[in-house]
Amino acid sequence: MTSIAHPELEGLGTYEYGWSDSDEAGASARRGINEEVVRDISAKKDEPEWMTKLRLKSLRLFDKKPMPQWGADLSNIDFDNIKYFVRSTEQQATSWEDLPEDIKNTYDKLGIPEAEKQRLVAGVAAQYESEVVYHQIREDLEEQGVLFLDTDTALKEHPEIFEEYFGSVIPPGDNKFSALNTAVWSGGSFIYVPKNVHVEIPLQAYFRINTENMGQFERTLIIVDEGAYVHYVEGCTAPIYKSDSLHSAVVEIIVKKNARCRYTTIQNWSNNVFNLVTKRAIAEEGATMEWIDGNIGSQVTMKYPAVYLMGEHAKGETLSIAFASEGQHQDTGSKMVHCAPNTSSKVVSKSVARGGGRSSYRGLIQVQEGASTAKSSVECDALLIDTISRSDTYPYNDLREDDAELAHEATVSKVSEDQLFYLMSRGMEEEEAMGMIVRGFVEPIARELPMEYALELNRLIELQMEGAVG
Amino acid sequence: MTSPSTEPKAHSHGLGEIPFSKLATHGSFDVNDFPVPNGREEEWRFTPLRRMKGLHDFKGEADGVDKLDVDAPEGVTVEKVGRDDARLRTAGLPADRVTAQAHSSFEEATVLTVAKGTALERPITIERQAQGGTRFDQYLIELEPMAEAIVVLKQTGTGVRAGNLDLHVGEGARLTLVSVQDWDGDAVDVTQHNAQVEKDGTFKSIVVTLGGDLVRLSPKVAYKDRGANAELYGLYFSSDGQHHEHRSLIDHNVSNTRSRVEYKGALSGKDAHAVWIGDVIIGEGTTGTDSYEINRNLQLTDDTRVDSVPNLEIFTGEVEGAGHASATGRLDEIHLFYLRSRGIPEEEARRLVIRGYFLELINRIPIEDLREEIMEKVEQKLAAHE
Amino acid sequence: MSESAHWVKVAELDEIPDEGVLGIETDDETPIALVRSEGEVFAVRDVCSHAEVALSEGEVEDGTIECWLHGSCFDLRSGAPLNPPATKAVPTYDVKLDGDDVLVSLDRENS
Repeated sequence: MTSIAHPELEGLGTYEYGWSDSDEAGASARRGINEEVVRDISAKKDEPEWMTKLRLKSLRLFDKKPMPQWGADLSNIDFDNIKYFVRSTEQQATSWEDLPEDIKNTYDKLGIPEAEKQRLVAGVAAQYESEVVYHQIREDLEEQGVLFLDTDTALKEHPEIFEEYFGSVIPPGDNKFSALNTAVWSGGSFIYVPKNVHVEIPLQAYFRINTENMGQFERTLIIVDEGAYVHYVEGCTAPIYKSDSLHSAVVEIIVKKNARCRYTTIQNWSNNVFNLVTKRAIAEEGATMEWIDGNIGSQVTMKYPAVYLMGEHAKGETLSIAFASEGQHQDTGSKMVHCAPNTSSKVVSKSVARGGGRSSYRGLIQVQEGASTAKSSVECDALLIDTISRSDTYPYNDLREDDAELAHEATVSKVSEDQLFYLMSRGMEEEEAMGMIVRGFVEPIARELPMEYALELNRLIELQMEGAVG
Repeated sequence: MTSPSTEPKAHSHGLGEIPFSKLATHGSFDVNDFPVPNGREEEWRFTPLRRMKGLHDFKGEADGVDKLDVDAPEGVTVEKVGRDDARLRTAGLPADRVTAQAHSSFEEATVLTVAKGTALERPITIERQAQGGTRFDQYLIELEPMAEAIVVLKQTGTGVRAGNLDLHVGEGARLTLVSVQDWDGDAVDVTQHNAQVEKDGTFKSIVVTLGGDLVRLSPKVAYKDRGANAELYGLYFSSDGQHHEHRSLIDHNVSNTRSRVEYKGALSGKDAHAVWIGDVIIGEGTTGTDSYEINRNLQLTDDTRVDSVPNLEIFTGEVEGAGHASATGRLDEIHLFYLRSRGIPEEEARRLVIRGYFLELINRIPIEDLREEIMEKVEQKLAAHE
Repeated sequence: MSESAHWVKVAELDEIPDEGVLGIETDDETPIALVRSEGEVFAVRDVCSHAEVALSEGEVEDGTIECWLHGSCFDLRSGAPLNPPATKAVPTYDVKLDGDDVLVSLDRENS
């Protein structure tokens, strides 16, 4: 590997094998889900009655709703063997020094402290187990009136705004996993950006699962008021355990008139995690919503970030990369629902499968009646590294307006022998050459990432490509 | 009067295993192997069950009558056979409840066989006029090795029809099927085409769907050996309230096979609905597959709906080429503007643009009279909206 | 609600649970969800505007009905969706009571 002038990335390679800290917080948590567990979560958080009621209703919906009969194989999820709430520290830490030693150690291995020092310019919310334990917001953000809190605190401190928007984009009943999340949610980020405020630095949060069989059900709510801008970055990484883990988040975003929101995710869960996430944004008149979505880890990911284009001239964009290696199924894509005239959307999806992995693109483009002169383009490219891997494309295009245009194209290709031969004739090892080809393939999306994430992505691809040849 | 729906609705709670392939059909000849659809199933969610006239949960009597004229040149054997004829169970399985119902319920099948090495001097024409009622059918067209044939199936009249058309293309044989659905406005037609293509055989299908209230046609192709080739073309023009659904499945289950799928449609008038599902599977361990599919739609008026779903499942990295495209839009304004600036009236300009849009596809029909007939029908449908 | 409208008896009031719903089909096979909420009776087309699901299988609360399959809520008075994934209204129908009889007029689909 060539040297990278970013010391914060040095630690990244070490978690290819996974690790875990002592499991103190998790041991005391109960497994399984029922009304008592849900009431207990709500009581421990001292929540208002409406939230307790909503959680209980969501639990009923979760029980009633069928498992998805499409997509990935979820039959190994044992809902009775998951801990739905784990409190790692009683109180939230206000500074790095306040964090418990074992948590600091974990973050050291992730390279976060160094990164954090460099990123002190930004607010970093680090989620450890189910609750945000470390949180820091730069003062000028506060001065601008930007709220950047963990979601539990936001419910306490900003109940009106919270009740107005919570569940308004993704109702509990949307799907089985949004119902589960609404019943047991804990942690996540809450962001409110006031009118015309332009947040210059990306706001970032790290998530980790650290208790065996522990579900992580964070809930993120972002409201970008008229004319405002924010870029939120979510990175996930988890140590490897023997049994299955469930991560089921819900992310709701409201982008108001002429505002813009970019949401970047690099997901690198360990290869035993079921990552079943519902992400949806509403874009009002003239608003822009951009999802940048990288899926590298997990055993199974099912995630289809959506934009509902509700106002005229709203724009939606998704750029996604999926990398499926041995034993992995990345079932990802995007949904764009055009509900107003002159809306536009664009989806670019790149996927790579190797080692018997499976990458599936699943998407929806819908143009509703009345969404005249809507425009949408979808481009899916899949790259197959070997003969045993698999790639699927399931795009749904549903148009109900004559005055609209849609173009969808997909290609699937294998690594070109010519390219490989050329690179190897230049003295490159096959593995190195293959890595270069893959990096070139995903470059159009990598260049949209913040610098350190682009480097991290390259490093992750290198790790994924190890042993890809031969 | 009214009937309160009191019976509890069943909800699935099972952690059922997801099939390895979403697209591979797990069909059956027996209707009882399929539950009665409720409209939420993947294979039924685009089809308005309410307009199927009971086909999806058939309890009545198959009382329909067809007038059938088969005009076959020398070298073709035409037979009427009973249900027990073993050849009727050699093609693909019915993939849904309705086509399975047809296979479970037909009384007599029509079998056409083109003898080995025979290149027919003129096309086989099957004129089928439905004369009301509900009817289930089974057809088999068999091309023995090295045979060559063009088959034209023209369907008119009214009624509720469900059936299977099996097509067996022998080694090195070449079959071109033109199937025209020119039903009356109240007809319902749910049909599956099951094509099996042997080594170096070529199957070409051109589907033209213009009529009916609800047409659901599912052409399925399986390859038996290397060098097999399938080309599926389709043209549909869906007007007021018509539901036209085409669901192709190409299963590249052996190496060195080729497929092309190209469906083009136009829609005009309130609640015209076109559905195109193009499934392609490139099987595990296969090499040298060459596949491409494309669907284009032209929405000529408001209140029309298009669902276009090109699904692709690839189980191997050794593909020669695979891809798909789907595009939906309106009449090319620039094109129209150009024609009008040349002094061509708008109506005529629209007609010319539509003609151009369908021309290449219609030109694939190897019979001139039929090409003209279809172009004329398309223009009639277009004119009905001006 | 004109008096000349064609009214059809579709149910008796006590068949509809309070803050609840009854799914029926009229003679011409129009599926209708009859809902009692906030002391009123409402009639909406019993098919969610998002997917092919009977709204009468969902929960009723404060003048709204929620589709159980994907969670969209509809205002019973206007038929308008209150949250995604549905983005279109469901048709509503005029209702009147004649003693214990619930009458619906299909003459006008309000949406």
